[in-house]
Amino acid sequence: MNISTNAGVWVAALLTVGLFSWMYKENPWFRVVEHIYVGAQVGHLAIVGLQNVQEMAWKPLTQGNMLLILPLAGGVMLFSRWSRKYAYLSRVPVAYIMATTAAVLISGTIKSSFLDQITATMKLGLTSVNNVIFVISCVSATAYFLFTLDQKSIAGPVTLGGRYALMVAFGAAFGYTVMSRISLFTGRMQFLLGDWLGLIR
Amino acid sequence: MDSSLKRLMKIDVRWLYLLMAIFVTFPLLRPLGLPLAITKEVRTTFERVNSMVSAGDIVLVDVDFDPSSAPELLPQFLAMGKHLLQKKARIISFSMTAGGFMYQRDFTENIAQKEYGYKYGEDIISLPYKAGNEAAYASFGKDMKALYTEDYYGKPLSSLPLWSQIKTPKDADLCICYCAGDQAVWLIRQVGQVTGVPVMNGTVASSGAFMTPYWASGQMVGFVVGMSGAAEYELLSKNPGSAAGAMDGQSFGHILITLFVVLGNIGYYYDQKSRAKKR
Repeated sequence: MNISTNAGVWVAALLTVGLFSWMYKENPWFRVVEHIYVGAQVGHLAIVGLQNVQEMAWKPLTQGNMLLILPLAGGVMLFSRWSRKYAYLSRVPVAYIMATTAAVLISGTIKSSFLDQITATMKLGLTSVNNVIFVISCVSATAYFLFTLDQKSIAGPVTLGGRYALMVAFGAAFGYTVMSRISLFTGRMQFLLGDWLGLIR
Repeated sequence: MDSSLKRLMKIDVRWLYLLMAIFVTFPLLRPLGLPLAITKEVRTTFERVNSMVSAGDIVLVDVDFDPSSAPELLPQFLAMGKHLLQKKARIISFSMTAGGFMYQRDFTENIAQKEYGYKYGEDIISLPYKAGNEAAYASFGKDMKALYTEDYYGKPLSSLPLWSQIKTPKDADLCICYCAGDQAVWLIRQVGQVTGVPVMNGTVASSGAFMTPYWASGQMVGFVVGMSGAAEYELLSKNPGSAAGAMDGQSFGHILITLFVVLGNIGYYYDQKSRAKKR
């Protein structure tokens, strides 16, 4: 056993134990750690935000790029939401943000998340059991969302199959999520037992 | 049977937490060396890194994670990063997540330069964090030279030889993204499909199901999921790290969760049955 002498490791370990202590019951140490966590997160985000304004707008502006007055003014206008009288000013940058976000997203999304995946499914040869299951699941799961189909018609079994396919997908997503959460817990335990207490290498 | 199931349904949840802690912790203290099967995804990724990357090739590495997802993504980054270093690839790392810089810096300074003798500016460059989410990736894909003028340390990029050898992401031979959220999708649609650079993704397990269609459709040439993916890559690349050692605990945790799900469902079934009887 080789306990760490690093003050940073001790702080991180005591904060971790404080957060884990909630699993037994809520206690003052957990509350303290929870508030430290929220405070540190807000502080970090505030500093990152200020640095972004400084690096991406203020610094180039002072170097002569006067066009950056426009996004800076837009940023200031967003704060007008706090005033009832001038709240309408915030709509201009909000509209700009929405329009540019939509412009950036739509073209890329249609190709990468829609057309490319449909094309890949269409090209999939029915040469293996996996591929057959894939195509049947894809068609039936899509059919499940055709709400105008009469469930008592021939489409009934297809949409039912789609429902089962979706359940399998949700089960897989749940399984992955469990795996992810246990990994996070394992990572913390490796830190406590290894970096802090020196019980594992 | 009914009464014991009723008791089980009302069990104090803290016993379950304790059991989980024991099941995950015990194998960390006393490793059992359970066998680890290599998945097709990880094997393909490893083989493609081997075949696509040669000495001197430029690889863009997107270190897009922070401490909240580091237990899964850091082992992936280290195992694959060391593999790239062993293949003598030149690396340009960047991050669109505010917390990613510390992993970039540690990899650049302590692993690439100290352990592998890489020269900063010639063999490896660290770019600073850029805000803007998908818009930042769009800028990266459109004109990375305009997006970055200084490196992470504030040095002008024009003074670094490696930077002069790349004009667009297309000049790179590979782009690898380690991320916990949508960043890989943004990278695919704003950089991969715009410039044509092949994209690989290392993601957390909770995003595995979401990202699988992009792998299945061929939009990504490599795909590593979660801590288990990292462990498999560590084994294949012979770069032992923290993930392989954690796999016994991971397996035990999964066994316990499976047991809980089965018991919970049996309990639920009998509970519903006894309620129906009372009606």
